[in-house]
Parts: sequence; C-alpha cells; structure tokens
Amino acid sequence: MLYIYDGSFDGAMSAIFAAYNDRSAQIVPRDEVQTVSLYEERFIDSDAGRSERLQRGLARLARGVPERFYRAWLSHSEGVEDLMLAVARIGFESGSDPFAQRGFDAVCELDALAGKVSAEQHRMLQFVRFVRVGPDAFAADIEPQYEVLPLIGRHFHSRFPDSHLIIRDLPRRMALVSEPAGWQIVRLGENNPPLPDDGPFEKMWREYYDAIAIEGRLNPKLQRQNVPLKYRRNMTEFAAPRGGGVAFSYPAAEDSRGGLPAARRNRKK
Amino acid sequence: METSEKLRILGNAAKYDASCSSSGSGRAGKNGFGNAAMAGICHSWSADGRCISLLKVLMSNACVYDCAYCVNRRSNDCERATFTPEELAGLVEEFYRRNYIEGLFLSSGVVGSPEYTMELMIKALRILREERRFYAYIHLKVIPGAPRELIHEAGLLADRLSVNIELPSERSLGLLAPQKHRAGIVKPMMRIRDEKLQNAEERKLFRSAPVFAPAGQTTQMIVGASGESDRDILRLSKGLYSAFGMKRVYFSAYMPVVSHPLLPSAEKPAPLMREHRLYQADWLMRFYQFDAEEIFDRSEDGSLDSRFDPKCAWAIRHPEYFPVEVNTAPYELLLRVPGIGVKSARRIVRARRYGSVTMETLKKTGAVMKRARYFVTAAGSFTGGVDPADPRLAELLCERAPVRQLSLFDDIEGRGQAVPVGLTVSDSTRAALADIRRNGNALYI
Ligand code: SF4
Repeated sequence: MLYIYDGSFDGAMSAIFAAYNDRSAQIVPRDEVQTVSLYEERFIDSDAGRSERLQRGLARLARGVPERFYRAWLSHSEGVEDLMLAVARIGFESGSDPFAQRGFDAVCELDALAGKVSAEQHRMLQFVRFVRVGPDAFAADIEPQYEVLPLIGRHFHSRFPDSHLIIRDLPRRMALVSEPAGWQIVRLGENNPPLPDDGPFEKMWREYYDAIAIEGRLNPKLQRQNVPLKYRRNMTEFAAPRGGGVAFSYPAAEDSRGGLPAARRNRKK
Repeated sequence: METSEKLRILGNAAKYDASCSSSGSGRAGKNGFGNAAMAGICHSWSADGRCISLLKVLMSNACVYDCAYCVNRRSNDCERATFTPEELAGLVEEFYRRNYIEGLFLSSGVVGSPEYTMELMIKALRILREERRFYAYIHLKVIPGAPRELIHEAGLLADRLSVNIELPSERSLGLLAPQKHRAGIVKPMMRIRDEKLQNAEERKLFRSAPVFAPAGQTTQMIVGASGESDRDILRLSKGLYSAFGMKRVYFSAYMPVVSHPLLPSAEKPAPLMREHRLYQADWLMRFYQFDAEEIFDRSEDGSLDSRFDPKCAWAIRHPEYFPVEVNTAPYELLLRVPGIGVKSARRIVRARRYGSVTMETLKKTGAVMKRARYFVTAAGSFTGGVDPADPRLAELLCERAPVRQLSLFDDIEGRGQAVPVGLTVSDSTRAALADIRRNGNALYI
C-alpha cells in the first residue's frame, strides 16, 4: 500500500502511524507521487493528535528521538519516510533507543540523514551574511541543500532580538522572518528583488578577510572542506560586490507556512 | 587615518595569535543583542584554512616594548595605528550584526604603559557592553603588568581573559622579552584565578552579582623560539591547567621574524608539526586520561615522535595492552585504542548492550579502522594481520606525508599558528585569493 501525505511533518507522522502494521507500506509526500502507481494508494490526512502521540511514544524510548526524526525528515530525501517507519518499528519492538542499535542499516541511514541536516543547520549559523536594509532591519539569502530554515529561527531570533531579520531561502521560496515579537517561516511571492549594496562594512570585512590569511600557507583545499563552494555565492567575503540600486523592501510576514508541527511555530504570545 | 586603514593594519598585526575559540560562556542580556553560543561558531575560514570566529584585532600596535620575536616591537619599522574606543566598538557591532563574527578578540601592544593600554581597551568594552548593549563573546588579552583594579574591571566586561605566558621558561623570557617579567605575567594570572573564585562565592550568596570572566582564562606560549623540550612544555602546560585553572593552553609555533642572535635562524621553517603534536598530547591529557609522564615514558630526550600522533606512539610502545576486545574492554581502555575517539568509544559501549559488536558495527561507530584494526578484536576476530608487538607495525602506522596544515582535529579550535614575519599581503597572495574567490563563484556563473 502506498500512503500519501500532505507534505507536512505532522502528515508524515500520521502516515507512519497509519502504516505501522502494514509490512508492505511505502510512504510518500503528495508532491512526489508519480502519475502511474503500481501500488494501491491511500491518502492520509494530517492529524496533529496522532502525530503527537507517535512523537511522545518515540520520546519515551530515548531523549531526542522525535527531534532526530524531524531533522532527518527535513532532508526530504527520497524514501526518508520509509526509513522513519522502519526505525520507529525497531524502537518500539525492542522498547529502547533505536539510534543505539547501529546494527540496523535503516538506523544508520536515518541517523546519517539527520546528521547531514544538522551539519547544514550549523553551517547556516556560520554562513548567513546579512545586509543592512534599514535602521534595524537586516536581510540575507541562502541556498541550502535541505530545508533548514525551521532549525535556525530560534538561534537568530535570540541573537538579534532587537532587530527585524529576513533570511530568504530563494530556491524553496520560503523565508524566516524574525522580529522582536517572535519568528516564523513565511512563503515568498514571485517577486524577490536582489539584496542591495551594503556600503563600507562589506568592503572592510572583505579586506580584513584577505589580510588575515597567513602568507605562504594558503590551503584552498582545507578552506574548501570548511566552506564548500556551493555556499560561497551568498557570502560577503567570497561574493563579488553587489550591484545595488534595486529597491528592497522588508516584507511583512504574511501567510505562515502550513504544515510545520505546532511546536515549531514560535510566535511569542 | 580611516577606520578601514586601521583595521587593515591592526587585523594584520593580530593575525598570528592562536586562540579563536569562542565557546563556553552562554552569556545573554536583556534589551540588547548578541549572545555567546555554548558551542562556538566559526563564521568563515581564511585562505590558509584557519577558522575565523572572532574579530581579532589589536587596539594598537604602537608598542613601546621590544620583544625579539614580535613584529610590533619598537625597533621594527612598520606601519602603526591605534583605534579609538568608539571606532572599535562601532566596527564590532556592525560586523556582528551582519553575522560575520562571533565576537571580539582584543589584544594590544603596549601604548605608553600597561595601565594606559588596559584603560583604552576597557573603555572600548564599556561602550560595547553598556552603551551598545552588546552581549556577545569578548576575549581580552590582559597586558602583563596590568594593575589589579583594571583586571577586576576587565573581568566584569569580558567573557574570557588571557595573559600570554609567552615562553616556556623564565630564562627564555629574560633573554627574548626583557621588559616582561615573570611576575608581570604570573601575578595577573593569579589575580584572575582568585577573582574568579571569589566571584563564585559571591554569586552563591547573591545570584545577581555580576559574573567575572565566565569563560575563564587561557594562555599561550611560543614553541621553538627557545630550547625547552616537549616534555618541559607539557609539564608546564599541565601546571598551568592545575595551578590557574586554565581553560586552554595554546601553543604557537615560532616563525622567524628577523635574524636575531638568540633566535633560530630565519631559514628554519616554523615547527608546525611540533606544535601539532603538542596539541595532540595536550588533548590526550585533557580528554583521554593520559598523564604527561605516560606520554613520554620510554622516551629518551623528552620530545614527541613526529612520525605518529602521541596516542599511536604510546600504543606502539605498549603492545602488552593489545589487542583489545571491543566487546569487553572497559571504556578507559577503548579510549587508548588508536582510531577510537571519545565519540566512538561511547557508541561502542552503548551498542554492546544490544548485542555483540562486530568489525562492521565498529566501523559504524565512526572508529578509524585504518588505525584501529591493528589494536582490536571484535567478537574474537582480528583483522589487523600484524601482531601488536611486531616491529613492522610502526612502519604501517607512520604518517608518511607530513601534515602541512594543522587540521587533523576538528575539535581543536584555534590551533595555534606561528608568530609574525612580513605582515603586508603580497601581490601574489592577493592574486591567489582573488583566484580562489573567482573559482568559488565559477560554478554558478
Ligand atoms: S609581544 Fe607585545 S609587548 Fe612585546 S613587542 Fe610585541 S606587542 Fe609589544
């Protein structure tokens, strides 16, 4: 049976819940369903209650298990839902921490996915580069491999609680908006102007960056390991100076992105 | 002079300083911005592969001292600059808000006197903390000979304080840095330790009492400028950890600045491998329950073997412990196996609760099998092929290609680098940098 869910994390968890006893289950998000399927299909409604029950059950196995499921799921890599189902079974059948049971391939694979997402989350904390777009407003663009915006909101909000921030994940048309009141993920529209020029500080940072490399010890290989080329396009110290001139307006947070688990909507009361 | 010009000079002059670690404070404030994340964040890596976490600058390089090993010494002919406290504070805020940096690492040459220099730095910190409400990480280098009131003030503003021990012995200090005295260095260290203890007491009584240097103190010494052995250095470093509660002792390979009758000749390359081995040994003492004496047992001249990392070297010297059966060995012994780190040792201990650990499982714990396989059995099977006591083992484990950059240990942040030579970026470096930048973008054009 092919279990189809709406593409949200709660949806994925609901599908795992529904498919738990079905040994031939496959779970896919709606967007990935191929037109002709060889399997019998069933659409699973996203059910926050079931999702929470499953997460609580997983949390009882060991601390941090649901969190790791969530991280792995954010990779949106093909088949991740099936791995989640397999690992949930391993956990519940043994009644203990599935991630300690490294003899199972599914455990290692799911853990590796979660690890990759976490690694990229950390990279985003390092590599996001803001441009000042107003007296207390800053904007940045990122192009991460995985959907990491929901994982970096808390960090940037607590670091800059006095400012308005927007971090745009342009390929996914999503953005993280952080304001003194809280942060959330919003969908972006069609029209996203490039970031403006940022004046003397960008230039100073580039000069400083160049100046501190130690003569005669250039090591581009090591540098590439730490700052992979794919991220450099959006990093001040590597990117060519911006053209500027295009009006950039800090968007009002509109429609919050549906489908994130309730706990991740972090708007403060 | 323009701020950008000063930044160029004073960033350049500070670049050889070792420490860049920014973790372990967790400070956060109200009505302001910035926090010191518990796990330090490196924001970028420079073209030489070193991590950039803090804005590392000198307050001033107009130094009145004349330390032989230093590029900023009075007798050296170089560009001089001094930040105003306002200027520096502004720069730090602007950089921080753009997420370029994790905080500030402020050091300085001696402008006028140690007191005056400290006052200047403290003023900059005050503006940052009190006017601009900046709560991110600040590491301040205390100038040797600084009076105690200023150390007190500095500790309330900074997350971490450090006083450079500079050289591993008093004799070397007298020869190479005659204006710095042992007392001028050790007294501030004691002061910081005592203030921290006292502060901890106060905070038990009044939870709102301000914190003194929450990320503790560190120090740095130059390796290879004077004649001390690795054993001397590690003993001293062990002493510094225990006597002053140092959080870290940084080593910095000496890179010849000029010819000086008392210093290694300018042709001699910086002893980077030695520095690297010292860090590894230091790491073993701090996290792998090795004792300084064990690291040197059966060693004749008290120097670390450059061919192996010190853990491998120890294992080769002690075949009597190996091979270790991963299913039954105590955690402490697992830690002694080359190729098994803290993380994989923990995973092994956890995994064996669920069944027998095989070579396959061992691989999955992240153990480096290339080295570990000579030293372990898994459920009785041994895949090393060579007996742990076999002399051929040393050859198999020898690191043939010397490590050029000190990059083996991810966990060691801010591995020390060398002390200064000519400090302006040459055209060839600039060209190389531009090239890297271009190639970095080429993928997308
Ligand atoms: S080491 Fe410090 S005190 Fe000595 S010359 Fe250099 S800047 Fe001045």
